[in-house]
Amino acid sequence: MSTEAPAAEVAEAAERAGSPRISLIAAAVLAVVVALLVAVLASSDPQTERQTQSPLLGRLAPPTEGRTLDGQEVSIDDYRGRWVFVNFFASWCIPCQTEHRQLRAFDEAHRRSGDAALVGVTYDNDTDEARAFFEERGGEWPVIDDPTNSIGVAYGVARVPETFVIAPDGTVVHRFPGEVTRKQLDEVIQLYEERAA
Amino acid sequence: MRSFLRSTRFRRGSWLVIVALVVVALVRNGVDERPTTNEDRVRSIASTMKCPVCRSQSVADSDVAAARAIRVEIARRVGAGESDDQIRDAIADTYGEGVQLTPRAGGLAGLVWILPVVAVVVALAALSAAFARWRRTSPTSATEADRALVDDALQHR
Repeated sequence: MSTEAPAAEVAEAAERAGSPRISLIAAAVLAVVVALLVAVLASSDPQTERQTQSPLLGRLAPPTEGRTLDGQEVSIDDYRGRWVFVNFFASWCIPCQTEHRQLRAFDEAHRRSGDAALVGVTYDNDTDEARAFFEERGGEWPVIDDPTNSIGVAYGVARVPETFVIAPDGTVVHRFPGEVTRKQLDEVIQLYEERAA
Repeated sequence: MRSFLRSTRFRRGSWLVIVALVVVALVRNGVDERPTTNEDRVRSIASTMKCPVCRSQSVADSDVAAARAIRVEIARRVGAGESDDQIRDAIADTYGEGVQLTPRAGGLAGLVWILPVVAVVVALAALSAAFARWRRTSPTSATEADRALVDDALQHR
């Protein structure tokens, strides 16, 4: 068998496979599609940033009012002119139990100075259980009983504890997902006051 | 029978059937099956929202506190007479756009919808061009060289 015949077949197969121009165009289109997909993915925030970000930052705080565990009507508007820390918690939540002592220390210090107020909001918590939690562990700050979690949804709370920092003008400036310490809360006031100065 | 299968009429008919099936599938998918009760509406809206603390579960399917809270909020808004889009927007307004299981059609996220369509169109165009080229270059009958090749192969079997 001659070697010319296979060579002709190869040439014919190459001809059938199409010109390099089509391959180039296909590769270019594929590259553009991949580049656009990478651009879409790269433009989304990383997971770590999403945890501390909130669509609420920079906006006026959602209406935060209701009846407290001891039957008083309270609204964060009553504290306008002060830093307000809205803390969502549940008595069954272990990090909430851990941070409670820190919140007490923060509340006692700022209750005296009068520059900041702490307001608790129940989240997925039975009223009696939340009340028992405070009776057992202490704490003088008002706690809004929110059996439908509507305030939590208005703040976009995903899991407790979560604490939102509201500036004296009523704007939400910071979100703490998870457990907080007194030091963190003090630092955030200092940070935003320095920025405002 | 064989000649009919090879006929232009049969080929055109086959293409028409394929196009008709695609159109029917698209139209059927696009038909708005509206929920009849408020509970159905809540379920329908919740199934389009992502549970904020779960992996790959909708608000409708999850039983974590956040999902239950969002369902209650959806039910409240349905009861207040808000539209589905208004409710989805309100939830996304506090939980972020990531809570929407169906990406919006606008902005950079709209590429998620456009790119697959572009890819399919380009692929179809490339296939059509390739088929056309192959048809043009394919021999319609065996040449003398082909016959000689087959004879040679048969002799050496």
